[in-house]
Amino acid sequence: MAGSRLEKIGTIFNRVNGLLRSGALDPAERPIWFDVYHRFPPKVQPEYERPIPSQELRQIVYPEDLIRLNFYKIYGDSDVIDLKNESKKTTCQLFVDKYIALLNTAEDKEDLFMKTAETLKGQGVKLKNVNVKEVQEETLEDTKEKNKPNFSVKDILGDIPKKKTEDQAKNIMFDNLGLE
Amino acid sequence: MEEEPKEFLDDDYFGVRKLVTVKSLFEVGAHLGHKTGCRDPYMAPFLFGTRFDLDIIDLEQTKVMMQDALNFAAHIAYRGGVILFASRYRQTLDIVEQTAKDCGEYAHCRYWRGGSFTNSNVIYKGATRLPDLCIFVSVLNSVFETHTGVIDSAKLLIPTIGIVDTNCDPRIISYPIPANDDTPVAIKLYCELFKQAILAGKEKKKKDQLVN
Repeated sequence: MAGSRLEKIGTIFNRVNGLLRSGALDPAERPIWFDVYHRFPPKVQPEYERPIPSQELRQIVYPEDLIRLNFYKIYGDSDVIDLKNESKKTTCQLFVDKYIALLNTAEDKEDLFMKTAETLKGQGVKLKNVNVKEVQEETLEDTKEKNKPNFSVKDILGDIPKKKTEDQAKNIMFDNLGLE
Repeated sequence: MEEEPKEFLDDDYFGVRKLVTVKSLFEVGAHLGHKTGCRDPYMAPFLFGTRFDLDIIDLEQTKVMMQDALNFAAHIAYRGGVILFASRYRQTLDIVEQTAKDCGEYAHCRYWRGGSFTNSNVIYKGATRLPDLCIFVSVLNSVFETHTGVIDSAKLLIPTIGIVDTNCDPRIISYPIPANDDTPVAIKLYCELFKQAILAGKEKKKKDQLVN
């Protein structure tokens, strides 16, 4: 079919329409998509030449993002997540849900973050502050006392015979010889 | 003035517009775009916003544009047009080829030889019928430039439908559909929709021919 191969000028519809109007293309030979395109044109004309649109876009931020941020800062991310199971909520999501629930119901909104943590801990959710290291306050004596074995050598080896005296040794020798 | 054919009287003659819902698109992650730095500037009007430097596509627009594209594809199938599915995305190649097979159309998911359209008479040794519609499931080639098929279709006055992600140029695609083109489940959904639309067009064609 005749037609301009300059794809950057106009649209495919304009180019075919031009051919039809100038008589270069017989209307009976118009492409089958032409009428469909005419009846259902696309929302945006597929023109190569168009001004660059504004790149200003909104930032998508949710109120709970701040709760999540604080949660991860304090409690870290210790969850094992099953990507195929979307019904199980992460600890962070439990926290966010609880926080929002408390925000709506609690009368005293002071220190809501710690209150949420306490409530969740009460429900058996494991929350451990990753920023605080557990310091052992133990002296050497304590450690010794703690590590003292609760068994003796006797328990393991039984009674150990006392060292035989020389006389006994002699007697044994004679005993063994069968002499009086 | 010619009388309008009856399929043009109804906006949704094939009932394909109701196939698309924002929810189904959302569930397959069709709204997830690329990093802001990868954005093609001409995609900005189709975006909802950015979340932590990731572009999010506006599915309300996607829905309408997908409906238009499906309706167009169904009309082409109704008129007996040849439809070509094309993609250079290897991971979803089999899905696209299977879709084309299932709806009795054609697929080209391999290396695109230059001139396949523009020099077809020489390459195929004889007059060649080119497709009446090209559906690009991914409009980029293997080095993230616009698929040569898109440009050649525009040159040869063949309309195109294309899934354009946020890093694709939507300008010379007749019916661009802004959506994520990297997720296999999403590709599966688009292919299923195209298939249903084309089959609906063919079904209607059979029915109307019997009536006439």
